[in-house]
Amino acid sequence: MRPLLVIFFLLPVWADVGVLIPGDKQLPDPAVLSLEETSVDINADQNGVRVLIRQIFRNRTNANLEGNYVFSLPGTAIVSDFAVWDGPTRIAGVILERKRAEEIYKDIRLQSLDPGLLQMGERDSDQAQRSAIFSARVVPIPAYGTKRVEIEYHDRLAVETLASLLAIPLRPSAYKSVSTGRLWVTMELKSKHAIKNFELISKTYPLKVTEQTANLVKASLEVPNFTFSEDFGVKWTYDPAKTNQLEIATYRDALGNPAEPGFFRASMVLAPSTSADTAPRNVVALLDASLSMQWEKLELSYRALETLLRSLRPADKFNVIVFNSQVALFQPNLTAASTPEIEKALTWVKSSRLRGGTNLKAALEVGLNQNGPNGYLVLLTDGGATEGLSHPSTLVPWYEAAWNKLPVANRPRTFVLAVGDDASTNILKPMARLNGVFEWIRSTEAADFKLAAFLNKIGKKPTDGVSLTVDPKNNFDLIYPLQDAPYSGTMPAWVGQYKKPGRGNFSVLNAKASVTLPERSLDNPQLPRTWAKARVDALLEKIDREGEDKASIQEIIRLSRKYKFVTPYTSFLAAPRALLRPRLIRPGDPVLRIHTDPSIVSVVALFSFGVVKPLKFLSGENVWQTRFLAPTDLPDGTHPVRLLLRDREGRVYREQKTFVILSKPPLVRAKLDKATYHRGEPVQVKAFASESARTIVARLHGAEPVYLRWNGQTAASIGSVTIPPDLPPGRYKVSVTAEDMAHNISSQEVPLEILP
Amino acid sequence: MVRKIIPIVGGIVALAAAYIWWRTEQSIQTSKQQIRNENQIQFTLKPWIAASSSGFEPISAAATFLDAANFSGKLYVASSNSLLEYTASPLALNRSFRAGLELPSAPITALAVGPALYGTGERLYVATNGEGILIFDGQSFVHLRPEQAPMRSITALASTGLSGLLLGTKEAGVFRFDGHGLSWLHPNLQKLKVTALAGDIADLWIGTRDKGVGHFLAGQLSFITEAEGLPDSQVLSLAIAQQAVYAGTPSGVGLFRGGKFDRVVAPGFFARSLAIHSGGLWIGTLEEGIINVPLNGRVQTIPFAVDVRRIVPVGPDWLAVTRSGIFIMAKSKPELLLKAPGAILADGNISALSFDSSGRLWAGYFDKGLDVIAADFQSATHVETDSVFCINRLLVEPNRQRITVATANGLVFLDSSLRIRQTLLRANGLIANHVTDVVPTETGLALATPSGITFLEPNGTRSLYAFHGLVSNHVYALSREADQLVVGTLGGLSILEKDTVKANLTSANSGLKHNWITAIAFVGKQHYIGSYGGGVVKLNATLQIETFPDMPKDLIINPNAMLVTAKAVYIGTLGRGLGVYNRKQERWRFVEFGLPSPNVTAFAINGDTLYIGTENGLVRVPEKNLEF
Repeated sequence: MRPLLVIFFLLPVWADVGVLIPGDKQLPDPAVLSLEETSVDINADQNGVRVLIRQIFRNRTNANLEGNYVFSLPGTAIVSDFAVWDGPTRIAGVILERKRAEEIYKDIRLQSLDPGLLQMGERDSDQAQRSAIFSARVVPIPAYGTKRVEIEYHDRLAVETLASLLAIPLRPSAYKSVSTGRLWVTMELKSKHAIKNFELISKTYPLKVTEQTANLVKASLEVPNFTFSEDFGVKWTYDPAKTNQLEIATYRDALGNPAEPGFFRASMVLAPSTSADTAPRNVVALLDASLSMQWEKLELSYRALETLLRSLRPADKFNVIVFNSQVALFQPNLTAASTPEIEKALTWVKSSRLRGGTNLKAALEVGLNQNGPNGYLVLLTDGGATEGLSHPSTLVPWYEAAWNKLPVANRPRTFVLAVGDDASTNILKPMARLNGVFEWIRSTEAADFKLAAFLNKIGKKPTDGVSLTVDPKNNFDLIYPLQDAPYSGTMPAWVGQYKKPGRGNFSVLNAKASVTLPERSLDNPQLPRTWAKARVDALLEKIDREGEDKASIQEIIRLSRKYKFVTPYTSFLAAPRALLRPRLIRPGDPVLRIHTDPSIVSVVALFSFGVVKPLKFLSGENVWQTRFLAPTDLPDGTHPVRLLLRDREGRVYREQKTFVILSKPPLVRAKLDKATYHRGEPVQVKAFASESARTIVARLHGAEPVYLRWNGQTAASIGSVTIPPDLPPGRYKVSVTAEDMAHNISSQEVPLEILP
Repeated sequence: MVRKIIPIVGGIVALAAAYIWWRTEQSIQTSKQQIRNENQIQFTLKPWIAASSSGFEPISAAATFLDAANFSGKLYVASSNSLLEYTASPLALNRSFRAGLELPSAPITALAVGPALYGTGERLYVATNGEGILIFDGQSFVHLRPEQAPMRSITALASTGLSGLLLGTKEAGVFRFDGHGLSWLHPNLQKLKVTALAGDIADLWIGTRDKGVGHFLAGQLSFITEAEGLPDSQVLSLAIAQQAVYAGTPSGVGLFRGGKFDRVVAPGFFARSLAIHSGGLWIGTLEEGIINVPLNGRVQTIPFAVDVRRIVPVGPDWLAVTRSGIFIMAKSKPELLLKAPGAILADGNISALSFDSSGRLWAGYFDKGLDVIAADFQSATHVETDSVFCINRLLVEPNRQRITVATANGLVFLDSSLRIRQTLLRANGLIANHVTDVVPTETGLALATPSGITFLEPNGTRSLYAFHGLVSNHVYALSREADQLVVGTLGGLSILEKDTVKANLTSANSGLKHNWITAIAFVGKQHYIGSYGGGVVKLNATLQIETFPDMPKDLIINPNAMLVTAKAVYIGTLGRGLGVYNRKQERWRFVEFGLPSPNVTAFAINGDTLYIGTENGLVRVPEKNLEF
């Protein structure tokens, strides 16, 4: 027998285009459950995008199966519908108050059915980490039968430098591929702001544009036997000649209820700035190196830091602060942004150590003292303050006061990059309002676009005076901006309610719009939900700031149910199917830990290699635990463990979970397209890695690291590293590192010569 | 009652012994001949010579009863680490045969009584996990040992009278011993994962771990699985009567009639053992006592004990074998017949050992808490809490008046009166809750975890992992000497100097035989590095790897199972027993004799006595007895 590196998954980490994973497996297996059809309907306008995905899976075995449906949501998306078809019956999800949902969920479980429960926004990091992944158990999937699954979500569309990107996360993570027997995509993009340069950026999707005007694009595709190897993405730009025009969208459905308010959305594409900002900048980067940042959050923050530092100009100055329970400065004072100094700083960061606590106040205090004119304080953190001031009600006012105490010229613009699903946005967002920018990157998001947009704003200033004025004031209520600081080239927008039909006047900067607020208009059906989400966000912020109050909670629950989206106070119950995390199995080692509901009085684990282990209940932790040794001949891979759970009434529940044995780091073999390069030239990197590899990164001295992506045609992961134009000629190495989901790493260095 | 146990008359006379010896020798010779018949299995059969004089002395661990049998007028009870012989009248412990001493170094798994397949009378057959079977005639043991390891892991026995003894194995199917040789019953039975056997050669029922019930009838093998209605494809027990066969599973009992699946009996019950009595069926469960299923009646629960391993007939009586005692099935309720003998240790699966400054031995358990054994070895105190559970390492810190316990649930500090002074978890700054190793540093402690290393210092904790240059996050072993910390991980070795990674060694860039490092110790001027499959190598001061010429290939060293004394380096191996390196002669020797298991997991030294922990008990031996 051997002690093993074992990882348990209750929920697969594998998240992408909706996949249905056989219940006893960790990864999709088309030999068991194949994806027959996928249809994606995309409706986008200036309000955002609605995506409806319908998928049909086929059970290719002679047994009834259960499966885990997993869908990776974009960061700001909200699920508005989920349904499973049971034969001809569509079983749709409903929004319920969280407590009620949990009660029903338990009742259904006692009837030996598996209800689906989607919750989000838990403060526990283990739970919140998964809030961007929609996951549900789907049972039964009849032998040789099919199962139809539908999911609909809404998301905002960001505009940066007059460009908008619409990405649907269909690319499989973990460097695997998923195929569908047939794929349909229909897309309709409507915009009141004139659009141009509509472009498909994902080349593997043969999208055909069927209609295109300045305000409308229609496109579609239908293709058999399609392999998802990249996200679906399109981008477009807004016509610079038609910027600074205020557009108003309205919606009202007040049939039978004259008190029902109407909704409006005002938006305007700001003209791009014509003057380049060349003034030297003083940039202080604060990197959170506390324990809560371990793994992806730290790596993303480091990546942001590296990108930030490498984007500095020689005339700029910088410093780096690494903080946790302690605060460490790279240099005592701001230092010139030369390449050697930047490399030194990055090496220094890598030599820092994680510590348990987070003293955000102390770090900010040191950061504020570092700044000079045209200063930027760039905070890379999850905001989980544990030492010093830690509550938003004390930390945020303290920061505002400390910032205001500085001479006006030395007040740094506060750029905050919040990382991780559990980021304390209630602390970080208000800080960024001090003439800064807030961005939040969650675990399931492709970070590139957001990171680029975030860093691109360093050196730029938000457009002054961008605020919405409405008239008559007493006919409008509850107006919320949908962004913090409007920059040139972006599209600031506001949503609000109007009380009565009539004339409404709107103005932003010099742009004015006078529209009829209709008595009934169903033209923009997404508007009420967009407004409700903004209202709920404001209420949640108020609760964070001032504590819970009954009225706010009741309103959140009411809005959530009425407009169908999940909040921290409600749950999405897709009864009577599917399952979400009533039991938690923690990763890391050959210790099996099961969290059950209180009615369970015994848990026994039956391992595939014959070991039967009753688990011990640890009352302090409210968890069942045992550990085991796997036989020496048990190969690396996914293995089942069956759990028998008995409740007080003697009812026995059987659950099958899987654990992964990864006793070897992933293998990686890398190649470059040639051996010698000139400065500024791209280096094409091709890597062949074990199936277990989760990420593959190529690094070259002085260059931004590049994440290699799976390419079906080359049957390898590929990417391109651009050699910095100022890199001294000589012999270098491209280091290619593969990491598996257990965070095992292995790397290979490939030499290359750089010529002038 | 035991008085009613039918005495088996079988006097051992010198003539019979001589005959048996002759037959044994014949069998050995036969097995050494070229195997012509492909159904034949190579084996050795020879008298077992006890290792009682080797100087190894077991520290008694709580017996976990597994099975019982009435043989030769006595009651024999098997626990994983010993076979206990009780006289019938009065019922008293007469002799014990301990694994590693009077029996081979392997856990016992099952007992069966059947006719002698050579000689006369009956024999007690004792199955082991790893050493084949022992054949006991009441006086001495003969060891039947298949040559191939998978065939030595016996899980089930069935005596079929003079037709032979059927042996079911963990992964290698079913075969037969007929007194002359071992042979396969049928090619299709060769790879089954057997859990139980019932019936005879002509009509054999086979419980399997993953394929339900196998029915071998007239040379044909068929399976009955969940698809046919069996409540579970993992079969735990079988019972057979004239008209019916019962198959116990974790989810109920399957009833077969006329060779066909009929229905599920007692659905939901974890049927670890079965017995058919005159009034119906008894089901021995894991946690719910015994379930009685009358022939025409409702299921009745008889709650009296947990984990009923076997229900065996003894004369007119039935005995229920539970973990901690044996009960006789009386009319109203089971009555305790005998309790497992008292023991010092609460468990046998040792994972860590250490002596404190007052001479007490601390023994940590793999999936339990720990025992603190008094210096006179007459008593022990058990400590088990949410955090003192699943122990990995015990570090005595006399200067701090504490014992540091590295566990799967955190780092725990206990004082000498066994009070928990502090428990540290991730919430307290550890990089992970699971602490696999701990070593003192100049200012505090260094902790190994599956997520990296944490340094525990007076001013708090600080941690590093692969992000900071560690060769892998999964750290299993640490060794510190001066400023150098050698870190053993799943992916190789990291050498830290003043907490900064100075070098990473893997099998790709060094002489390491295996990347998965499990144990490290500083010996003289170098570190000895144990790995999972690469034996032990040396890391010298210039960070070069040196090998031992006499180190066996593919040797697996258990986590942190390495101890250095002035005379020797001891390593605990997986399946190869105790490795002893004579530092003077610079040679290795491997010892299994005297150990309750060849899976050696922990060491401690007290004066000149070495304490050796295994997965199946703890033994001590004077260090001089291991010299060579």
